[in-house]
Amino acid sequence: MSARLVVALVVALVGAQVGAAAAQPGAGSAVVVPIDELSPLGPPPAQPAPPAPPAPAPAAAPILAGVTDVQVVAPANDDGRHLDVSFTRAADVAAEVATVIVRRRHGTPGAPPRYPPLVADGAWAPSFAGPTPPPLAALAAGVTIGPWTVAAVLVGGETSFTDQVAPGHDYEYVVAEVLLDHGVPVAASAAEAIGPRRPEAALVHTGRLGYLAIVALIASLIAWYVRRARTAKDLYIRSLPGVEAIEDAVGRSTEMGRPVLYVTGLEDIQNIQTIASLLVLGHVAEKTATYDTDLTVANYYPLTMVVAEEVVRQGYANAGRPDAHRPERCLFITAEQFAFAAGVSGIILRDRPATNIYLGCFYGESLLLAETGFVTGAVQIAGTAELTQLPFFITACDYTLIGEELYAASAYLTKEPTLLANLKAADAFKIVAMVFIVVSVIAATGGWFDLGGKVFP
Amino acid sequence: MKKTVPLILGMVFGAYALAEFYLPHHAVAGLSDELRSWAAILSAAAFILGGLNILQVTWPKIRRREDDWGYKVVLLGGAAVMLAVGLPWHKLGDPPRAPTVARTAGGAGPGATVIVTVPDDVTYTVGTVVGPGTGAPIAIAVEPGPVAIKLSKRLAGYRPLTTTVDVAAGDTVTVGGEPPILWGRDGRVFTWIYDHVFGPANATMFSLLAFFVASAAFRAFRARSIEAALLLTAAIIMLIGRAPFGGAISSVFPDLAQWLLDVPQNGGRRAIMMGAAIGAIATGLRVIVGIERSHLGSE
Repeated sequence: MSARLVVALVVALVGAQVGAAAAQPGAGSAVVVPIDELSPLGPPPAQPAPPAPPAPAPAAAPILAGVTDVQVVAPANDDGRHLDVSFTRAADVAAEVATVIVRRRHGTPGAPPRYPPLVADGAWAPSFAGPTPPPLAALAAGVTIGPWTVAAVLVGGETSFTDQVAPGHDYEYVVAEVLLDHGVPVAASAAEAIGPRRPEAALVHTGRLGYLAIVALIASLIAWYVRRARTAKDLYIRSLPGVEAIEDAVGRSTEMGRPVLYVTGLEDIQNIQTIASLLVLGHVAEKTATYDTDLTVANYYPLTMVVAEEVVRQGYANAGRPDAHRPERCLFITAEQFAFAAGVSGIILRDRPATNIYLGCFYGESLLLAETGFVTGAVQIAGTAELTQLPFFITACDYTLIGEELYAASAYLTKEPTLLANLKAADAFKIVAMVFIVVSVIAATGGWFDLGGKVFP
Repeated sequence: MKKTVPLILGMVFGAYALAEFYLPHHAVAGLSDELRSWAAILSAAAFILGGLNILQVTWPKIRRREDDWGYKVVLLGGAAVMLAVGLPWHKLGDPPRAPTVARTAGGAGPGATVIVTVPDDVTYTVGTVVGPGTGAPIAIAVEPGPVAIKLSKRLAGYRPLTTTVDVAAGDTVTVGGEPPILWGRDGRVFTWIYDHVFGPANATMFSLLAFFVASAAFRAFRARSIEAALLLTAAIIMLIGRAPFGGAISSVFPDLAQWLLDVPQNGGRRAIMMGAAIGAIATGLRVIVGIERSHLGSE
């Protein structure tokens, strides 16, 4: 059925109902309005019933019946910039009928629950349009119609919409069904109004309290272990061979008279893996300064380079050799992935470093770097939390720090009790997590309760 | 003091970044956006430092004619060329934005005609009619009224010429012009270099990965220990199970391969993920609360 035929059918059907609607204004929500018969503000005038369509299907009657049960509420845990609009549509609405949601600021309490149709006599209804209304064909989200703004034109049968609004204002909403002919509104149902409603900003995101509990628990464990570390004589920490190998590798570089290459990964400074890498870099710089070995640091981002240079400078200062620091050895290579891989591979092949340390976040270039380093015979130590790159590093490097070991490396290198306590706290939390998982699995499998779902909704 | 101020700044902003996740209020989000803008400005400024660093590192090597100094010349030359073509030079002049239009009124007939004369690398759009230029005049019949005209090059990096002509019945409108070249990031030269030099070079580096994977796999699959033997066995099962002939031999291979992925691999993967997440939280906390100070150096 073509759209024009549908329009004609709807207009005919609507016309048949106008008389009844005029006789009982406000009764029910099925005030249907053909464009030629609308009155701008008042109820539609009584009209002689047009001839009935040839075979009117009983279900076709409420095509422009309008929406009911309009609700506008502020979403839970919202930032104060959204309002959820929901409504109920009739069961048998034609596909050419869209739902139009318009809003305006500063709705008046006690505003009429229903407005006349949005579209009347081939134009916007005067109560909506204002002095300079847009053309009907311009109907789209964001278009201004008088004091109203079109929040959404829902053409897929949706019955809810989350509107983005400015915080701190009241809004009045009007929801109506509109019959579209090639995107142009030709008829509209009565408009259901609701408001004013004001978006509400939540102070705390209650859906994230489970994660906050994890952070709080880890923080508590750290505090407890730090206190214990200050009194305990020795704190056992499982060995991390990859971290222990760093000093040996730097020593090897010294013996061979070749530099150490340090790559800080492919993420910017705000990535926690890059931060962990830079923390380790300070220790490596201190070691190379102590052994008087050249250290080359390759960086993907200039900001990382700036921080890395400062970290290396501090490492040399910690070793008592600030004069040995050479800022030009902290390199910004490029911020393009494979150009970076080519650049670092060039450094590996030209300078032939005896030790390559890749710590941080890596992607597809990880194997290019590690295999090039393998070809030169360098001792290679890698560490990343990127799961997809770990197999490459494990295959091509002598030592690999897997996931959490990257984060533990800095604390492990210092041997300071307070930092080692941090590792103990992380290990202790792992036990807590394991118990939680086992209990949750048993409870969920037994059908008693869903612990995971309750803590992390 | 040298350590205290950075430490306090780190604690304050770190704590704020942590708290932001739990505070959905728009005022918090607004402050976060502001801080992110600062970070973006810092990051952009750092690119200037990055450029200076490249110059600082490569120029002495060129001057001293160190090994492979020729590559450094290519590096600096490439950077200079990209900088030059990346600037929007066209904004200095006033290149045309609309095609040349000449109208002849007084013809007979209810319709109007638009005659387009453009080179063969230019595509014309007259109303709803789209076609390639030929260098020769092309006549297009149009209805009287406003007619949108657009001339655009089929290659990227040129500015299209657009205009709307209000034609009357019997009018003959002659349209011509050539879209001017653009400079800068969306310009012709920049786009050409990116597509024809950088793109293929990038793809070449990426494709090398296949050979590196083969050589690394060859080394890894030598069964010199129990762990390596397990790895080799799993790899063989995966290879057979994922290849079409594996299923042809027996349905056991695809099922076994899928089981390896779903159960042992998935379990190990999740364990690493959880460990890494806990490690990340612990690292973040110790930096925020100031337990980790190695990056600040000693007093």
